[in-house]
Order: sequence, then C-alpha cells, then structure tokens
Amino acid sequence: MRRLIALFILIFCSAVLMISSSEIGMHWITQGRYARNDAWGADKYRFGDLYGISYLSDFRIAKDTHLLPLPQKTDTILRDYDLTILGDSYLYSSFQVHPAYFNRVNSVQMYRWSDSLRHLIPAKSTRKKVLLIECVERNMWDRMNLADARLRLDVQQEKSLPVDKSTKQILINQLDRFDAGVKRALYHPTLESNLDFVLFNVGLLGWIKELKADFTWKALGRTNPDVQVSHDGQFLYLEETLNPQKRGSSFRLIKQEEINRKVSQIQAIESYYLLHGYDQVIFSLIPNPVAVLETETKAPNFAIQRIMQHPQRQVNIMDPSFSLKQQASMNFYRSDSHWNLRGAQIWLNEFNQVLSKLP
Amino acid sequence: MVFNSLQFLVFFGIITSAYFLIQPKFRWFLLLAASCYFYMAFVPMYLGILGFTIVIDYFAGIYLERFQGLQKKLFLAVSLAANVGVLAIFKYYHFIDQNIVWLSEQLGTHVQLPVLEMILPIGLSFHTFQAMSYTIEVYRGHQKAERNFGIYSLYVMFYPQLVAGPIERPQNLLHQFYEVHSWDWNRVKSGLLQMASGIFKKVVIADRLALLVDSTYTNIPNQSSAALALAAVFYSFQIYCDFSGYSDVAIGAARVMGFKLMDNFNAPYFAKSLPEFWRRWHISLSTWFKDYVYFSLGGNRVSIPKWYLNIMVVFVLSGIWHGASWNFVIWGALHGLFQVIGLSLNRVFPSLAAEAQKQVWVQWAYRLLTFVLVTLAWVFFRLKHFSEVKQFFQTLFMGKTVGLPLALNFNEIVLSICLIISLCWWEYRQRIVGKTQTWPFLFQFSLLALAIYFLGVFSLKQFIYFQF
Repeated sequence: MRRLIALFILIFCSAVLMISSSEIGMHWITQGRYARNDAWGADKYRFGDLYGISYLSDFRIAKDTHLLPLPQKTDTILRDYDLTILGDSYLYSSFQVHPAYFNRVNSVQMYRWSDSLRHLIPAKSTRKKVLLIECVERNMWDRMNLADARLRLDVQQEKSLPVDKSTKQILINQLDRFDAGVKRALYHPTLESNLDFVLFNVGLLGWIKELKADFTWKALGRTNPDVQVSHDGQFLYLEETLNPQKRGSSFRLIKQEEINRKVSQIQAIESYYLLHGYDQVIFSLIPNPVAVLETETKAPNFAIQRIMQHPQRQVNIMDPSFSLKQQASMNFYRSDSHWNLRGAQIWLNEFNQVLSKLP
Repeated sequence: MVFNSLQFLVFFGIITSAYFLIQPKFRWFLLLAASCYFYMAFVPMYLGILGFTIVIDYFAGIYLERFQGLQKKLFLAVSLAANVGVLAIFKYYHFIDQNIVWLSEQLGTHVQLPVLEMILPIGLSFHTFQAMSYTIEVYRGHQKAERNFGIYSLYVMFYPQLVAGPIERPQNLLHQFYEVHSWDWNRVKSGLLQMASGIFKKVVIADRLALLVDSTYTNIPNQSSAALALAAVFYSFQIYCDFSGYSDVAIGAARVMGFKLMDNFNAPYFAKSLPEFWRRWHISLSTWFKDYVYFSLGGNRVSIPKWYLNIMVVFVLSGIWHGASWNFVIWGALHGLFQVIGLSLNRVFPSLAAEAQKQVWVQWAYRLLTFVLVTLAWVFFRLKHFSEVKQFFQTLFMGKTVGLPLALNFNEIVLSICLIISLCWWEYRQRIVGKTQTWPFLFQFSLLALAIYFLGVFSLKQFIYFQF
C-alpha cells in the first residue's frame, strides 16, 4: 500500500512537472482548459486578466471574448497601402489581422511586442507601405525605441550589433550562454506560474480563491500587489499604472528631459523605417486606463499629451485619449487591463481618419 | 529553489517518493542528483564553485588521515585556505576593495583592486562552514575521512540544508547516508507537520511582517517614532520566523526521509540573557564558532581581558560571516559588547544577579531586557548604511507623533500581533511535534494548510538568510 501511494505521488508530481516544463504540454493544457466553461475550465482570463490576478468576487464579470466584427465590405475604397503593425494586446486581443478594418489598406501583417522572434521586412511591392507602431503608455518608456522596434521588425539588426571581441568578454558571454542554456533546460522560465496554472487554475477552485481574496480585501484592505481597486470600487487597475514610483505609472513625475528623449527616440524610429522602405510611419500611444478613468482623484502626468505637444515633434502620432474620455467608463472592462470592443472601435475610427489623410 | 514555492512542493513529492521506491544502495545517488538540481535553480554555474571546494576537501580529508605532523597541518591549511579563499573572493572581494579605496583616499592616493563582476553564490557561507567542519574534525581525529566521493559530496550538498543550514557536523550527518531508512509513518507525520509549521512561520508571519517592516525601513525620516518602534519589534519576529521557518522545513523534509538534522532554534526570545540567546538562536552556527574558534582561542580558560577579547573576536567574526558590510560587523560587535558588559556586571554584583533570577517577575524583566537589546542590535543588521541607522535612532527617540500611514491596516496589525503572541505561547509551552495518531495528524496538517492558504502572503519572497 505504501509503495502504491509513493508510486502514485511520484507519477502525479512527475507528470505535473513535465507538463509545466514543456511548451507543448502547456499549450495542450491551456488550450484544453480555456476551451471549457465548466468546473475544469481555466478561469484566469475568462473574467478579465485583472480578475485572474486578484480573484475579487465583485469583479467576476464575464468578458466579451469576441473580436471586433469586420465592417461591411466597401469595394469602392482605393486600397493603396500595405499595413505592417507592431503592437500589443490592445490590438491583437480586439482585432483580427484583416485589412477590411482599415481605410485604404490592402494587406496587414502584425507583429507583437511580446514576440522575441525577428521577422524580415516584407518584400517591396507596388503598393505603398505604412508602418503602425502601437504601444500602451505603461510600456512606452521601455519599448518605444529603435533597438526594441528593430528587434521585432528587422532581421538585419542582429548582424550589426556591436560585438566586444576581447577574449575575456567572449569567455564570459559563452559561460553566460551555457549557464542560461542549462537553466532553461532544467527550469522553464515560467515554471512557477505554469505549475500554478496546471495545479490550481480550474473553475472548480474559483470559490476558494475568491474567499481568500475577499477576506484579504475586506478584512485586511489588501489585494494582490499587482492590482488596485479604483477609488469608487468600480474598476480594477494594474498597480504599476497607479503607483507613482513605477516607471509605467500615469502619475509618475516625469521631467521634461525624459519627454524630450522619448520624442527623439520616436523620431529615430520613424527616420530609420522611412529609410528602410516604408512610405509612412504612424505611432499610436494608448493611454493607461487609469489616465482616462481616474483623473478626478489625482492629476495624471499627461505624458502622451506632452509628447504630442512637443515643439520638436514631427512624427505622426495618434492619441485616442480625448475620444476615450467621452463616456470613459463604457470604453474599458471593469476587471481587465484593456479597453472593451467599444474602446477598440473608438481607436479604429481615429486610426482610419489618420489613414484617410495619408497622401 | 525556495521552500515556499510550488516548484519545491512538486520536487519534494518526486524525490521523497522516489527515495522510498528505489533500492537503498542507490539512494545517495538520487539525493545527490536532486541536490544538484535544487541548487541549479539559482545559478547553475555556481555548482562548479561548490565542486571546486568539494574536490579539495575530499582529498584533504583522505590525506589528513594518512599523514601526521607538519604534512597534516599543511593539508588542513590547504583545505581551509581553499574554503576561506572562495568565500573571500565571492563574498568579501568588493568589501575589501571598497575599504582599500576608502583607506587609500584618506591617505591621499587611490588604490583599487581589479574589477571582478560576480555575485555571491547562494548559501556559500553555510556550505563553506559545513565543509570546514569536516576537515577540522578529520584533522582532530573525531571523524574518519569519507572515501566515497559521492557520499562526501552529498554531505556538503544535502538539499534540505544546502543553502541556509543547519550547518551540520560530519559526526551527525555522514553516517546517516549509509543507514537504510525505511518508511516510518510516525516520522513522516512529524516531518510533514514540522515542514508545514515552517512554511506557516514564513508565509503567514514573516512575509506579513515584512510588508510593514520593508515599507517603514525604506522611508525612515517620514515615519513616526511609534511606527519605527513597531517596525523594529516586527523585524525581530520577521527574521526569526523567516529563518527558523526555513530550518523547520529543512529539518522536517530531512526527517520525512529518515534523516535527523540538528536543531537550529529553541525559542530564542525567551532567553534571559545574551549568552542564553546565543544558545537558542542559530544553534548550528553558534556551536560552530564555539567549537572551532572560541575554544581554539582558549575560551574562558584564560585571563579575564583575554576571555573578553575572545568573546569579541567570535562575535565580530560572526558578524562578518553574515555579510560583507560594516553594519554586520557592528551588529556582531554589539552582541559581543553586550555580553562583555553582562559578564562584567555579573562579576561586580554576583549575588544580586543570582538572587534576582529566582523571582519570576525578574526573570521576565531579564527576558524583556534581552529582547530589547537583541531588537536594537537587529536595527544594525537590517540597515546597511550608518546614516540610516543614525536617522532611525534620531527619529525613534525624538517622540515624533506624525508620520506616513503604515503599510498594514489596523486589522492586519492586530492579526500580526495575535500571530506573534500565538507563536510565543506555542514556544513557551515547548510544544514539539511528536507522535500523533493519523486522524489528529490529518486534522492538524489540514488546519495548518488552510491557515497557510488563507492567511499566507504569497510573494515568493526569498528567505533572508539566503543572502549569506
């Protein structure tokens, strides 16, 4: 009997570790669980990503999982541009990769900031090419620069990286690579969260997680450190967007030099891609939801607006803040860090206006 | 890999079940492989550093047994130099460099050691001290040299106590790797309960107290005096629950497999004096210093000034062992100084001290005084820079009533205090986990597991002593 129990524990724990350590295993289990809505289905994103972090029962609000519907086909529009998008979850969780959404666009390619793979710049075609680089405010300080953009868009970048050729540096680099390789082989980089998903992310356990989260929130006034509840208790926000100490916060004190630097970085991206075959480069900076929804309690830093109004700015930047502020609470999910389909539609309308004004 | 992680839970399940399923003659190999895997979760490359000292100490042990006289001393010196050398390079290099730079600048010049970019391998101090205890014990003839390289490697790498102790002695641990440990349900139950209580101490008490301590200590000038006092007291319990929690998990995990590791804590905050505190706190390190440094210096069988000097040397070394920074040196020196003052007072008023110990209220007063002294010394341990320490004591004693709001709300502060009181009560009653029937065990274990889940602060916060 003891051997049987030991054997069961060994097989169970080994299976859990193997699944959690493998991309294929995680893909298999996540696909399976996300496809289900029953007790065995995953509840991590079903009710919004911030609910999936906090598990506060007041925010167990089913999320609309549909993408923005494609508009009616309008054949009369001249589709004279190929669109390449480098964007984040604000776009790929709301839109299909389809040209029908966009004015004057014949084809669309989309690359994600979260991708580490490099892609070739598409071959030259007879149509004009437009590049849209979209980024949410909380990530723009780190991501919106030429090196990061090239890392995702431009395969040539790898060859032109400056290399320190000293023997010592080569040895250190090789040791580091070996070390990282060994660690990757033994420990999946997200092993802990994978294990959490495999062992505990089933709807069946949702009520226990909510019980703990509600107790911690109501009795101790705390929730998961990555999440904060809005002052009126209606929305969940990412803590990093509220905390003035965090880089991506909408309430961080930002000096003018930092704005100047960001403007020149954005201009450097535009110059580079204009030189490398794009006819137009458009930037879209998406405000953090708190910068739209939480402005009555404290003043945000207006980072995007300051970039927009910068006297040296020459690039085409699109800021949907003003439109999103109209009936703002209807444009964002209450328990998710993204806009809802209404918010996405507002952004699309503005982007289409920009496209229609292109030469 | 940290004990308060799911990785460890799964790892422990695999290794422990495999341990009892495979033939006893292969178990040491399983444990050695598991220990390597456990350690490689931090920085795999650092396994090579442990490997370097393991090879030297293994052969040093054999040659120490084979030779006598000067040659024997030489092999001991080689082994100690290798261990201390590795520690000096990885732990103290930057500290030495900083001090050389400062000193040279005071003399109007600039001298600097070559720049070495490296980080301290986790648990190196623990590993080194355990390795040194082996060669010293072989040198003294108290322990036979281990011939099986794998078993010796396992002795210094046994995963439960690899990164934060208890620092074992070869006489206690080495022979256990040759014993056949069969499944003993009573032992497994007590081991699991000790592990659960260790995790409870860490994630329910220590990591909760850390929320207030960390936020208070990072912004000292804007705190009220009461907040600083509360943070100082909370830190005393945070570090205790953090470290003794780790030791409980280590001892419990080893016990489940049949190994008996030495106790590391014995209700230290009930000590009535500083010497007693050190007999109850981090016992494996205190006894290490006592056995290998204090006694080697002559202990108390020397003149009074030399005795006091010995005490100071041991505590300053203990401070340096904790970290390569002056605040740890001061922390160690403070403990040494408190002891020297206490001993001097005992010599001046011997009857008064003996009489006072007989009354219960005086005993409690002594306990309180010891706790206050230990807590004040922890301030030096927690704050790296002297300017911060100065700021801390200035704000603490100026009676400032207004400060930033605390990181914990009233309910959570009350909960924290209740948890501390419960812990103290538990320890005062000297409740040790012994034999329990299956159903009471299941009840206790489930209760602990539920308490850990509902009251735990799951931040994957590393154990404080990992840095050493």
